[in-house]
Amino acid sequence: MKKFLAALLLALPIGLMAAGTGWYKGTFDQAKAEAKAKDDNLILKFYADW
Amino acid sequence: MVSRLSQSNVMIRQNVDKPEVQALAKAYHVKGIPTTIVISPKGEEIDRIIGYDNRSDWMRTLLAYTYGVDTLGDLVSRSAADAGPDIRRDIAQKYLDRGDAKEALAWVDKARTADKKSDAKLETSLALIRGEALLSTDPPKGVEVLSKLAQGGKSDASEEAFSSLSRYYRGAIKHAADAQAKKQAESDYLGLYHAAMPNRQDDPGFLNDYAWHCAEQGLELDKAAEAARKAVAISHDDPGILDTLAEVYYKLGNKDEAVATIDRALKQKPEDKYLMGQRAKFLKMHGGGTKG
Repeated sequence: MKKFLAALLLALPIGLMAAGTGWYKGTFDQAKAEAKAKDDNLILKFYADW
Repeated sequence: MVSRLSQSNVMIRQNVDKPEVQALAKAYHVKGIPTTIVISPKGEEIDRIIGYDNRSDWMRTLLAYTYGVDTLGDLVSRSAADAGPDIRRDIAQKYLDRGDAKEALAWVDKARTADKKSDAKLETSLALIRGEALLSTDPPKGVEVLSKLAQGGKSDASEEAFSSLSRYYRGAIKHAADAQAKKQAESDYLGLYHAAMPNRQDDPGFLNDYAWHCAEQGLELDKAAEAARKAVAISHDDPGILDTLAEVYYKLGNKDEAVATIDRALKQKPEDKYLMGQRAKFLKMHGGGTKG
């Protein structure tokens, strides 16, 4: 069990993703830095509650 | 699908209702919600999707953008081989969407001098882009161009021109330097409704917007009541419009009509909390009132 947990933690990206949704949970600056570090595009969605 | 996309992209959502997000939204020239922006690893905007038609279209466009297809850069490259006006118009629109008015205007000019002649529909869309861009670089000229479009009959272009001008006037009212400038912007905004009114007599959405604007600002409430009653009749008792008419009656001090009208809306949407709140607000008024 411990071994499994350790492997899971290592597999997690630097910024945590919302479980199962794929949306980044950190701040915008953190997301931008992570995209740069991974050489990935950053997809930024603005939304509202209403 | 978002989960799968996040395996090769970093995806983040930002709620514009949160005060700390507003500076970011302003920096990215966000004009409508939702707006999805694809940004390169270097931090440069690749392209954006404004609005949301349906999930599959959104996903298809997003996927294309992440592969560099149909993006601003892609269209600019393709325009070297395609001298037609359509691709140049699309480039102008993309520049406008990201807040680069000068480039948008330059590409409108390029579209107008394209080899192939443009048709009336294309000319209208170019005028719309030009008017919206001019609101940033030469506001009086932008107002002139968009006002002409907004005064036309009901069409996508006239509605978009009207929305752009509404946004512009709301901004001018909010950020007015002094009381006189604010009054002028309010008067111009009302003038926009008056100018468009003759061609929009059968448009319940427009009549409703006008009546709501008047109710909010406390302006020409008798005319607002007339417009709202007409909108209610055309829309066959749309609860969203009945709510406007009720608000106008409330502003006129006519408690009985306000309550009776909101009750007609509640009959269709008995669980609607906003409508119930409005009814409670009207009931707190003193007296019955028969004006309006």
